[in-house]
Amino acid sequence: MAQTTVNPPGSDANIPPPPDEQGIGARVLSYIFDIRFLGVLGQIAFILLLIVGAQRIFSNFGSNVDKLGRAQFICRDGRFAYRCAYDFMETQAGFDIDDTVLDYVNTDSFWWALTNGIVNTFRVGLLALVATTFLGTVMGVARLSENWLVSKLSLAYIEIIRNTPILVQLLLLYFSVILALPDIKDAIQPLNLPIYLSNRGLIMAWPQFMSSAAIWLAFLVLGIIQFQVMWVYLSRREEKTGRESNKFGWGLAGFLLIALIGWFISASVSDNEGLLIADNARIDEVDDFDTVMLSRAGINHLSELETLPEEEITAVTLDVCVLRESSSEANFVNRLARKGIPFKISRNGSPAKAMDNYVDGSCEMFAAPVSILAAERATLENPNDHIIVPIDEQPLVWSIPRFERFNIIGGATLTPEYFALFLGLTIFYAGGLAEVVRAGILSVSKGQTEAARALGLSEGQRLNLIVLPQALRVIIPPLISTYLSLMKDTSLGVAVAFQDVYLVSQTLMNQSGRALQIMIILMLVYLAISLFFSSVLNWYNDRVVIVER
Amino acid sequence: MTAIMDGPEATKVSDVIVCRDVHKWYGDFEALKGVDLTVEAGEVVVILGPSGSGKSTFIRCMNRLEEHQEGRIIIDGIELTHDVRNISEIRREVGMVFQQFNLFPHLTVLDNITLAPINVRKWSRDRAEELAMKWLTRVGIPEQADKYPGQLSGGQQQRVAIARALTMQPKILLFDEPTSALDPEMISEVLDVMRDLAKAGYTIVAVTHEMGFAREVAQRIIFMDGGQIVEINSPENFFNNPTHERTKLFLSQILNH
Amino acid sequence: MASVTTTTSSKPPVQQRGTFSKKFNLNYFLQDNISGSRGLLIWVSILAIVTVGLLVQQFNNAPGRTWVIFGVWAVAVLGTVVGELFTLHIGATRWLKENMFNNVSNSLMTLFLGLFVAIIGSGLWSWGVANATFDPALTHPDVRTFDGASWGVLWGARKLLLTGLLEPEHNGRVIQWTLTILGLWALSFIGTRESTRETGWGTWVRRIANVGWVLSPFISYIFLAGLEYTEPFIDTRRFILGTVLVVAVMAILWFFKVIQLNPMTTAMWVLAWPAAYLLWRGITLVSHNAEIFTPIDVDRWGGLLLTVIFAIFVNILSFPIGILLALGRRADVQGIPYWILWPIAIALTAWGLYTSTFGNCIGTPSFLCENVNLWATSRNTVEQIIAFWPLLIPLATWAFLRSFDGNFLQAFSVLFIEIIRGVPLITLLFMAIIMAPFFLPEDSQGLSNFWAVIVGYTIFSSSYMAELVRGGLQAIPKGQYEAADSLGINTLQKYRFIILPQALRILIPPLAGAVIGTFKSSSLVALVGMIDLVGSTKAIIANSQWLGLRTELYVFMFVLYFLVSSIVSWYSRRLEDQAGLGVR
Repeated sequence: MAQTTVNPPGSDANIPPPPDEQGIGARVLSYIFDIRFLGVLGQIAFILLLIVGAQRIFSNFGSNVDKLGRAQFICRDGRFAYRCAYDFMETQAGFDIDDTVLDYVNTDSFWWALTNGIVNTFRVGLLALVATTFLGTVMGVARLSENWLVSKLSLAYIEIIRNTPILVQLLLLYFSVILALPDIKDAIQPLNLPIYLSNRGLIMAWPQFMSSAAIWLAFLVLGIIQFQVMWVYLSRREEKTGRESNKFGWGLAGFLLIALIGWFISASVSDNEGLLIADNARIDEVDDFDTVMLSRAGINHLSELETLPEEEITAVTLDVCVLRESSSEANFVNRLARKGIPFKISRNGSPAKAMDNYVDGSCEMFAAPVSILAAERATLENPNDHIIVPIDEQPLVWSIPRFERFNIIGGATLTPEYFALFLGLTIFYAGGLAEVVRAGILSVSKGQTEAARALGLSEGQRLNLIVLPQALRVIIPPLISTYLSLMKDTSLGVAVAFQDVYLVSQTLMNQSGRALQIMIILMLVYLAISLFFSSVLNWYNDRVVIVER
Repeated sequence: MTAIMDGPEATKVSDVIVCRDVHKWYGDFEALKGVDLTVEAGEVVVILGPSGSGKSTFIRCMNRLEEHQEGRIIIDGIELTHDVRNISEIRREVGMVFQQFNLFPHLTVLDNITLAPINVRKWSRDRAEELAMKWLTRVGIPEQADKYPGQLSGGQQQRVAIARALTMQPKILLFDEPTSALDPEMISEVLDVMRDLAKAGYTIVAVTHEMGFAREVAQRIIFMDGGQIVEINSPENFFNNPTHERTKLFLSQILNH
Repeated sequence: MASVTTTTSSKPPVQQRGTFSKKFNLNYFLQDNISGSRGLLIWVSILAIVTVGLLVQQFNNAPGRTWVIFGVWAVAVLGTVVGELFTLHIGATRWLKENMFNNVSNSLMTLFLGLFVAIIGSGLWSWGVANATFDPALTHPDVRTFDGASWGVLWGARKLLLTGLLEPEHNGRVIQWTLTILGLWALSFIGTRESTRETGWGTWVRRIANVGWVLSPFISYIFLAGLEYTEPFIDTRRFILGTVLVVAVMAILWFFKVIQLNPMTTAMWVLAWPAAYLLWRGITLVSHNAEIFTPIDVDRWGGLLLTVIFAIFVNILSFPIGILLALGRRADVQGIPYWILWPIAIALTAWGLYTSTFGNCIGTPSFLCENVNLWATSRNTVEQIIAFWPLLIPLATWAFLRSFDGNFLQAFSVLFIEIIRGVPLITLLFMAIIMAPFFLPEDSQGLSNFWAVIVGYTIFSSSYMAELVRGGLQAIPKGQYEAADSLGINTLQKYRFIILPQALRILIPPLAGAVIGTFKSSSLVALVGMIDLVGSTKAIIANSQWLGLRTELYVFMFVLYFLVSSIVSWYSRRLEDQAGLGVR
């Protein structure tokens, strides 16, 4: 054992003096080599580097703005100031957005155009999100199916979708599938349902709210409250008596009952819808149309109408005036269509125009809310020669698409662009989600299933209490990431000319030339979306971590 | 060259480890509450204590795997401060063996051992490999040199870890529960190596639950509880007539099962 | 009790063929397959209705095909049923029973999907093969006589599809480059085969390939962009500045004992830049005089070439940046202390408030000067509030100290990664293109779109890489870091020898995924006007020769992307297997 003992053990001479009693040189050196000092020094050097870089870039930016972009910062009063960067957003947009849910015309402001773009982004994104969840789950479960064909087909779907770019999928879907669908006059109508598939997109029956819907919605709220009360009551009773009851079933039954009662009440109390018609038309209620029609056509039964020649049908056809985009149309027309009475609709932009048509006889009647009709009737020459026939209404009325000349009227339309983007996003992200779902299900070990069986849980209980909670813990974080990617990829709408926030922004830039400002807004919109999803994710992770502890 | 095989290198001072009033906090929790310890060169010290007593934290403070916030730790005359030079110098002189072996799974046994000597001591590969093979021979597994850690048993891995620490020619060896992760039949092969090292004159600080080893090899036993040193005693006195109640309780729990 | 035992034991179960000794029981069968639960009943009914509906419809539309499918299905079902009822299973019927016909629902599903696949398959077949033409001469709308695809467009438009607008005289260089890269790949492939791995020449092949890969960006650049020679031969400023920089890096590393120096290594450091610079200039001069690698305008690249270049460039550039960002995000360095930050923050706030309310131009960059006084020029309340924007500085300081403990490296990495990941790629690409002119020096020629897109794309890709690498780093057990520390090796060596090799091995599958992802999303550059593979479609179908032949092109691209992605992921699995050698 080689050992050179300098000092006897245990003596303080073995210990070097504390740092603050050392010589000045040693102290300075030890500060320089202090790991904390080095860390801070490195960071400050990094910051300085960034500042120098930013200065280089921004000095160019300043002079370039002076040179290229001074016009970007002109105030409404024509002066130049940076704070007027967004003044231009109040000017008229000057371009159309084909597919909007909010009212928009091209004379609205840039702000409003942008808002419509944002709404469109959410409209397609959220729907695709729901559909992706559904399709992805189905595909993920199918991948684990014991049926060889199902499992292999699902594997093929996942592999093909995941190994090809979403853009190419989207282009194929739009140009080669949806735009290659038949023209609207040969629209595909699957299973004779009121759904029409054509190169104009997807047109389908859609419920419209009538004015009495407010009462009905109130009943629905009441039903939900009832559901809660029933649930709590039955739970308490369960605890007390130990007897299990079908809480969900009873709650649902109560809800349906209340909804049904509400439906009839709101339908019977409302008398908002009416029809303005000449008194001498011998119409006092909607059912009178049958007899009028029979006498006009000279037949005994409405079904004989079909046997009549084309001209005669045209002659007896009712000419109806309605307001554009009014739910009165669907309400009235559905009744006529149910009876099989031929009719022709002319839509008018304002009550005054409709009345002009009514007065000059190009339409025999005018269907609209009673309040409008009463006001318009007063403007007629002899108000007493015209009566207002009440039309029954229900809270919801189906607007059913029907052919009219070379077009389909009514219902809700998914434009080809919206439809393509929606389907494209759904199909692509469902492929990724299927893998997530599959991994989640496989993550629940066999031991868990066996343990559940050993406890005597039924299959349903096993799924609900053991498998799902554990699988969801694995599934939900990547699921939320998938949602976020999906929302971001709605920007691919530009490939199929769907006017989402990205495409609207691009158009705005071309219209205004203010690239910088619009880019900032666009980034903020997407960052807000992503911030939302990541905070949901963080919230979930925090919650799950707590549960695990 | 061969002389280094027989024992550790000379130390600069006789008290190679000096700890004075060492405090360590994890957030609000005080893991070490003023620990004092002096270890002489060539001494074998075993630290005992219930889990959570701070013994692992203490030993890990000695080579700056954990940072102590108050007090002084002086290893071989060099104080552990934030000074990077001191930290790297002390780590060079202090070898550590972990509970989980912590071998590098992507390197062969020989590469595991020679990595540090080549890159830190700046030895030639030949010299490093020569010494590595000698140490592998000494711990009894020279034939495993070209295997990967994953192909070895737990006991063999731990011996490789010891050889890895020793090839750096440290003056002090720290063992952090080196046998706790081993299957019972492999514990003895590791303890044999440690015994051998103790006899060769290495300064050793070991945290372990092997009472037999402690009784036989240690010169002093240190009992820690609640972040403090409760008792320092010779093995004989420690096991036969401990002074503290806490120690008695601990021993009765350990020995009566 | 005893009697029961004797009765059972007196009738030992008859050993039947196979393991299926269970007797058929109609009640159990109905319960298991149809009437077991309400949900099952509804499901089976719906499935039956839909399947029969489809079957009937198909009998009307394509009777021959449908008869065949239905016949095969019926025979298979019959075989299974017979096998089940009379326990006569042979291998084939047992497989059928287990995989296709194990219950009524699955049997119906099999028929339904069989019909479905037949519809899709026959549609694709008749469009793509039976009714298609492969003759490039028959692609013009006037002479298209087939209902199906006109695949001739792929051959006819091969120039645009492969290289876009690149001048034909450069085709040779593209081919040479392709062969070089393929050759490198072949070398790597041979060098890493199990049979050649351990041999001496295998090691050499591997080494050559590795050096080749490291140099491949330069080789690619020389082949594809060419070399532009500018006077003077040696730019003294660059020559000296580069040398000084390299020596400075060396000195810093040496001072902090990251590297050791001896005369040999010192000479290597000092001479590294001059040697590399001279070599580069030499190659440039020779190529200039011999007119070998004449410059090519990068904006002429297009088609598949551009797609591949994007994938390679972006992956190579974003990988190191991604690693740096990941390390930055995990950096555990001492934060900048509050007693440094707060005084600066307060001073900045005070100065900002002063200028924005009393406003004059002290120290303001000139382009902001005439606008700094926001208060005086404000027109409404909103703008008056905006005049107090400097109050955001203390807020940001507080947030920075609270969330990151003053650790700027971490804050920078986190913000960079999260902001970039929150924005769609196409927005970044678009932004890169339209914003580039604002940030470039005034006298510059302007950045070509290609480089702008590369910059935007790399920024995007590196933040995704960073998250992958971070995942890999997190997967390395803490003990590995501690073992490395306890041996006294420094941080650089720790990452180089211990952490990154292990992390990268874990990362092979996700990295391969990222490479495929980059390759696939490179198609998005078409949306910002680049003529890559997808972008070339527009140019092709605008030609009257190929008017409207979109579908053929898209299907071709679809298949091409699918093949390349599949090959890369197959290759990554092979790499992973090899990297796993010796590690269990």
